[in-house]
Amino acid sequence: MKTDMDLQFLQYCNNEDLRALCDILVYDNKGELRLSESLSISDSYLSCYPDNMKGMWRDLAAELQCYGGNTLMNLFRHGHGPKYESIVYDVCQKMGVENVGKHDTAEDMEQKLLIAVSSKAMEEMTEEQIRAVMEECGVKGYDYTRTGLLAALLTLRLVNKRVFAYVIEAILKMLMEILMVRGIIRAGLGLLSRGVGVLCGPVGWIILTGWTLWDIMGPAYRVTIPAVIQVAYMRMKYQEKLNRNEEAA
Amino acid sequence: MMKYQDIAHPEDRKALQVLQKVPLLDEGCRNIMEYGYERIFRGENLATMVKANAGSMPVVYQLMEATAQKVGVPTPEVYVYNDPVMNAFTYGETNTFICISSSCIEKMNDEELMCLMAHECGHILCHHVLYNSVIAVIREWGERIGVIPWSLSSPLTLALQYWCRRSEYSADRCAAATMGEKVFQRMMLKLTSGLADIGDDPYQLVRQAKEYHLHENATLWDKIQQNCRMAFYSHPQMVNRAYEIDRWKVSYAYKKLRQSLI
Repeated sequence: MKTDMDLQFLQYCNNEDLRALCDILVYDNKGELRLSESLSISDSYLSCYPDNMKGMWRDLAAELQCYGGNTLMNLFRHGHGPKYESIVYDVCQKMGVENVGKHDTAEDMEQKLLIAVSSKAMEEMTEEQIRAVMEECGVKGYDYTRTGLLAALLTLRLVNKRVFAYVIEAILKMLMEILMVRGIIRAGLGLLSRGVGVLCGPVGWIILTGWTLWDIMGPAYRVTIPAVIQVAYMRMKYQEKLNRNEEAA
Repeated sequence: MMKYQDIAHPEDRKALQVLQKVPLLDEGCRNIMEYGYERIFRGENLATMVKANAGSMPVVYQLMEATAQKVGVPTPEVYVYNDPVMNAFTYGETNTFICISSSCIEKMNDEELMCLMAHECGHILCHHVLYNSVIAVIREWGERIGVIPWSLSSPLTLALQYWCRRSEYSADRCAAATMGEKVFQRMMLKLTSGLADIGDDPYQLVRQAKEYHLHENATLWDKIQQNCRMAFYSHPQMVNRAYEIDRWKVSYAYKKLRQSLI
């Protein structure tokens, strides 16, 4: 793996989240092996998947980097992909996330991406569901509407990261339920031989099984978009845990 | 009972995914096999080999039954043919059979013989024979009849030959999962050496594989030479087969399968 400070945190993530990331990189949304993946034949995959995912975090990062780069260009980089920062930037551009600059940090770009994903998800939610999310997360002082929730998200991202994390997580879970009811998420997740691994990360769960709200399955981005959203979600959880530890100390 | 996904080598699985998407390929090959080759070969087997059953070579037959049950495929017919070279092969999609050379029966113990049978059952489980017949048809039409131009048929054949080598890894995984990797390594050593007595160390091929990899990767020229040699093989080198199973034995899939089959 090419040293990438933005992906070092993966070594501290939990097994289930890393497994979800791995599944996104290895399997497509039909549960079939991706033709261009190279993880599943690696020594680390054989020895670490699915119970010791921390043991292969470097390989996950390297694979993600490779997906983010042009195959020919990767050859000139001695088989390595570009830096994660530029992958997130490309993903944000592809998904039309506004106000993302090339010199923003990866974390900043990821948060904007999560907000964009969430606001898109909100369009799918009813007023009652929005109210439920806001009440559950203790968001006060905003209207119980889509606009209110979006405004709360934008503010809380800067003011209260823990609540921001809860809100994002709640929205993604809610979206997952909506998609399931509509049959957009296939019930046959068990078809994947590793089974429940895919069910673990909520974002990975949604995306791996068929995200229909966006055209994220285009040829160049069908891996990096879900993978970056999963990494963004994992970083958000990691940061939140760090903040909690700091407060406790 | 095993599932194809549990044992399939990733590259074999990817190739099968692609092949399965070709319209009518499955159905066409299955029909050609059922009404053509399967019947021809069965007739040939019955005419030139000894069929194992409850009365003739009952041990071989019982071992076959036990192996097929473990793998979870219908018991194929078993034939023994006279050959000093240790080998076995399978054919058929609808009516399957396995042919084993006499030297395998003589030189292998029951466990190793079951391992060999499990390898062939692995091919049946993964439907390799079905897609292998595509290679045969392309080669036949290309090389011999000349319907497909050589410039087109040869790259296709080479690509399918590459998949064919990967499919052997899946069958090897099936054998190792059914009988354990140690038995598999013993069987491989016997197949490679042709000897009945291989001593107490079954991992010689694994060590040799590491030595081979050092040789193969020593220079770019070595790499090209070795890969060009291998491009025309239908099976991977014996040392690589041993090495792949040695890598796979640490995997979750192997451990889970072994637990369920013991």
